[in-house]
Amino acid sequence: MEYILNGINDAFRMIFSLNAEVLSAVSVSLMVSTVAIFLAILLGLPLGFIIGTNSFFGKKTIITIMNTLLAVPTVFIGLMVYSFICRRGLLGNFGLLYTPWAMIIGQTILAFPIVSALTLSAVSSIDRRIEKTALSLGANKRQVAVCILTEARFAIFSAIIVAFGRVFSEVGISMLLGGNIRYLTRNITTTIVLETGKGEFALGIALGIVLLTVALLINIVFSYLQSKKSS
Amino acid sequence: MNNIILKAEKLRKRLDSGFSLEISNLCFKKGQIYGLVGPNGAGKTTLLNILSLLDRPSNGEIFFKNERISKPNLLTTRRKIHMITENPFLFSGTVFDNIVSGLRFRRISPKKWQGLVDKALEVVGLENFNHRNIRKLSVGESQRVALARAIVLNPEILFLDEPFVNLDRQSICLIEEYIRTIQKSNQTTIIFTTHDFYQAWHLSNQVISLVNGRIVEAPLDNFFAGSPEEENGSCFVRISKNIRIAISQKIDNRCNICVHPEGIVISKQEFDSSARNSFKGVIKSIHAEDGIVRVTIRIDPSIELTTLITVRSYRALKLAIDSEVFAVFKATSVIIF
Repeated sequence: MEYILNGINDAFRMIFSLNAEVLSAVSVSLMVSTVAIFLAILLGLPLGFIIGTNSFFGKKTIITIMNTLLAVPTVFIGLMVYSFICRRGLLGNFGLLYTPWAMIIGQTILAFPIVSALTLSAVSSIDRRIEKTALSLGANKRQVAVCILTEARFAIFSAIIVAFGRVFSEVGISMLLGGNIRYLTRNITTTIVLETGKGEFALGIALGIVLLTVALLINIVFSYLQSKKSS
Repeated sequence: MNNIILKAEKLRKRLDSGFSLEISNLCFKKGQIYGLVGPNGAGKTTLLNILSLLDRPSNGEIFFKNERISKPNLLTTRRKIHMITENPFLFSGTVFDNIVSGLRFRRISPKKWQGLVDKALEVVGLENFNHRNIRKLSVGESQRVALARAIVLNPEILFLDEPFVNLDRQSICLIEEYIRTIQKSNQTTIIFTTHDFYQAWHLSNQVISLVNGRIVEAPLDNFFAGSPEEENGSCFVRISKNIRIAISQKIDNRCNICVHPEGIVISKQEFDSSARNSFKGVIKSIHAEDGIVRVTIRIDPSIELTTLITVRSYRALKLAIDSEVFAVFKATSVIIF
């Protein structure tokens, strides 16, 4: 047990001394996951909204596919993207493999079905009278959409948090597509895997603490916003 | 003709359930109150949704001030009318946020909002409710906020779908008063739905009856117009040369009255009772509807009373067409408006 206690002790020391390895891993994780989430919102939110607010042939099939994509393993996404961006792949010429951009592409694909499926669920479950009320008040199509999204904002926000949690903590995509290159693509999760493999617990625990702290901060902000809504 | 603000021609709407609404011609005049009445499932809300341009008919045309509604003028016309749905939806936020939502959609300067909101809240008697969260409102208050949200837009036509549902008597009176105020002050055309015939007559200039998706010309049961009379301290309304109906309160002017069909008792013989209205008549029609028997009794060449009795009573009394009976009801059963 002593090595764990020593590890925790060393971890706090590393965090407070702003260790370069820790800072680099945290900044890579934050940068890659934030950009990936931003892109997933840009693509997934309109798609979920359009599917959720319209009736058309094949809607149930699309929803089933989207729900299936929620359970796709990260290593599978990594493998698929790898096959496209490796030197022999279709996008091999762009030289994306083992760059943060490769990780962003993989994480966007991971977050996209989460954002779109949960947005779809959020807008499908809102009160059907919103659209009619907004139209009657003189709203145009864009204003009606804003009304629906505003009323469903907390469910959509929680979808984004779920997606962010998933991409921030994933390891398969980062390892396969980033290559775990120090100070370039090595993020929190790949560092933890590497350091644990080497038997060095301190850095792993330090990054684990950072991971938990980020999750905690996000949830505190979410709880605060929800309590503001109900007051 | 120029007074017509809204016109529907050859409207047809088929729903997935198989129900179809078919209206050949329907006109609404400016500044009038219309009551759209009919039983549940008659198509009142479907018709209101189409007239308020929230739903498209399968066939037919709608004209607003003689201008045919089509895609290019849909939004501009929709901004001149407003519909308050049954159990109106209020957006999350405060009363103020809700009332200004229509103004925001129309891009009206925020500088004007507060004055307009205060005025609208004053009309519906909700002064100082500006910053109240909508979650803390009662059903009646929510209905009044929805009305204020409509008032602030000053619509030319205001549609209200079942505005009196789930409200207590006091709230119903208040909403009726606000509807009259809006109509008088702004010359707004008001079209509301209700399943209560008497409320429709009470509030509107014209009642439109809708049954199974079609407009019917059926007169209201036991609805009469007459002049007040007084004799030995008792009050009456004379509805024909030979018939006068005892009422429970003194009135000064010509009025409309009606008697609930359920409030009329049929007997084979005249009997002593506290009921002050007893008329001998002849049964002209008998119809059974869902376990209830509808009996029409002619008490005068031009006057007929409709009563509703149970099948059991109908069998016990052995009623038949052209048989003589007495129709008895209390003066307090007579509704005056």
